Amino acid sequence: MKKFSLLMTFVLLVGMLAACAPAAEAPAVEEPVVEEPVVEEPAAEEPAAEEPAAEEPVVEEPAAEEPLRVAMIFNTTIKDGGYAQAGYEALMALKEKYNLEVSIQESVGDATVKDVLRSYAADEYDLVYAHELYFTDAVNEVAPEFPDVKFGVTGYMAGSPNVVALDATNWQGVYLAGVVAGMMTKTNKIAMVTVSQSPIALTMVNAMYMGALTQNPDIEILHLFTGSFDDVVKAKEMATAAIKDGADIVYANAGMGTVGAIEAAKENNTFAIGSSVDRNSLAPELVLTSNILDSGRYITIAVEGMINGDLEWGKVYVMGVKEGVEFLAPFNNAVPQEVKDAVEKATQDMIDGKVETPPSDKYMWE
Amino acid sequence: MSELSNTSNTSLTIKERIILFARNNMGLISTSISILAIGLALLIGGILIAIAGINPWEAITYLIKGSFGNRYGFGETLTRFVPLLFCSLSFAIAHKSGFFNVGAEGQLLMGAVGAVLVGAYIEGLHPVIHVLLCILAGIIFGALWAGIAGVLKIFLGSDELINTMMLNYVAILLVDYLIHGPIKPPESYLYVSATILPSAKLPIILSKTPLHLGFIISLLVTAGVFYLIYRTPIGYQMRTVGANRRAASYAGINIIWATVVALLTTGGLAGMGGAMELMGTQFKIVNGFSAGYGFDGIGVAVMGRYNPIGILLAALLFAVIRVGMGAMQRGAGVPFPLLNVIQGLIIIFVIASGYLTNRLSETVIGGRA
Repeated sequence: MKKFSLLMTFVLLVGMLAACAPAAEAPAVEEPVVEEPVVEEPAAEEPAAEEPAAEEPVVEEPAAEEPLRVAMIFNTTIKDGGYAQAGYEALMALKEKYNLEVSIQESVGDATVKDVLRSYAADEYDLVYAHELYFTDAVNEVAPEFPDVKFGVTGYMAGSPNVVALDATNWQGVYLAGVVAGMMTKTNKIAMVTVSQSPIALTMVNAMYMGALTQNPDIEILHLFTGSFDDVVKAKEMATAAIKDGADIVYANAGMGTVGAIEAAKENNTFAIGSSVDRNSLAPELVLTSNILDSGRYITIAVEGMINGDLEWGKVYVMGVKEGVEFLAPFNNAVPQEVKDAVEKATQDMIDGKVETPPSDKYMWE
Repeated sequence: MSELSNTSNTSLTIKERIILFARNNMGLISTSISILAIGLALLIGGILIAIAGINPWEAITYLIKGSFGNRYGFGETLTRFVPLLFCSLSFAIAHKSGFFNVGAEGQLLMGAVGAVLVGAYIEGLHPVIHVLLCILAGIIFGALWAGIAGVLKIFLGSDELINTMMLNYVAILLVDYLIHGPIKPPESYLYVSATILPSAKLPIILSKTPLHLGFIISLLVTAGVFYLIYRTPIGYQMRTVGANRRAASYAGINIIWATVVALLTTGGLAGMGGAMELMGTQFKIVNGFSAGYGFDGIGVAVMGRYNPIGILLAALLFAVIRVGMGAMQRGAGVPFPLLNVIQGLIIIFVIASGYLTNRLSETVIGGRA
């Protein structure tokens, strides 16, 4: 693997030089998106620029022969406008960037995922990535049968030395949202709508509380859960009730219900904070921001980690703000500069590791 | 009607010959009509694929290659074949007995529940005994589930089509509930059932593939089912009840008993399919445990014309389609919704061809009478 990644780096380098050397004036506009740190390197080697251009075809040939083969499996359609789509688009961007050979299978059920994993592995793909939490067990079951194939999963377990599991903290973004909510609330009451009271949901609630508490000592959180990922109506009713109870900020992280909760905020002219993707378009004046979970980062981290050889296999990576998996969407106009500064500071604190993981077994204020 | 055909039969020798040929080669004719139907469906599917901008020839190649072209695909196809076969047997035996059981999906799920209860929670058994107990539990659970609709039919005369259909949804939601609480292992992050113990797992019979012992069991069961229907007194009674309830009653056949046996076998077979799927490939109940096997089983039985060889071939075809569809997506990049369309086309054409064959055989038999 190391040899391969070295080769890839070399090819990248030579390709870059070749691209830069012949037409010095024009191409600057052509591809401004090229990764910056890599561009620096050829600049340092500028004097040698003419020579490698000659051996360019020799090096590029083996690379063309063996592109990295990456397979990705989704449990929904790739046109879901969210989780799967972000993953798919990231894969396509990677394909362009690293000249990968890619294949996908969408709408794979939990009952058939093992077959799909094995089919890809038997087809000798270099990396098989399962983009779904519910595929974790299947990946860990299949991976030991194919020690030469690398498996990645968006999940919580890596039980074989050829598996890497990538997961989000699921709370760091909420913490940042809490900072915003804590500063923006006037009634000191924040309504929080989630799907359940699961440990993950409790961690989120506590993260919201911790984030808000840093700005506002009197904060109170009304936690409501709908019991369903798709119950838009119930989420709306619950959020409305919480607003009547005095909450003046609604944070929703309840699957489809998120839309319902924001709808309730809109009807009552109350601020809201969205989740997962940027929900600003639902109510541009009222949705302050959204805590985004960029599910496209996972496959990017896995593929780039494989190319660069800096990913540790057999390990679970729990990633958040620092790795760019979780962040806040651009703020709307209602958010003053001091809030933005506070979020920036909180982000830095988080990156520096100054923020503790919230408890997942009880409400912190109890 | 019969008079009319009679006269034409004697007057027109060419038509007579055609009818005679058709009568003698009904199996051949219905098989070729089915194959033609599949070909037509694939042709239309190919046109759709071409419209989507994908080389249809490449896509069809992947369909074949993915399901038969390599060792793994071959094993996977035969593995998918198992639950499809059980569900179609379940539908076929009910059909023969005049009982319209569209509830194989639910019965399969309940069978899996029975098998997981025995497989995961009873420890320390010898593998052979454990496996047999699991299968038995699957059969009992499936049969009981079908029995609900049966009791309603026998004692209240309510329509079993509606009841078995509705019980599917009850079973799906019940299993959903079970994996959200009662049979979910407390340490699991996911909503799944407990995993069955190694002693309850069926052995793999072809290495480097998922093909398990259930495949051989399913073939034996097929033979047994048709032996039961065609070679035993109770099978004869079931068929008579299926052909004409009133006539069967006049002939002194105990209709209730025949219906009960039919019910237990139909439910038991679907339940056994669920147990096999659980013990051979899944090892635990996950969300969407049955990928529509119960519903596809109806198509398999109709396409196989309710006869053993026909059902075996039809189940194989459905398995090939299932596995090949995945390969088409992986290899040629055919989008999933389009695959659903093609799958639907194949089923519609096959059912239409069944209708056509029925009409044809009616005409032919009419010509004889």
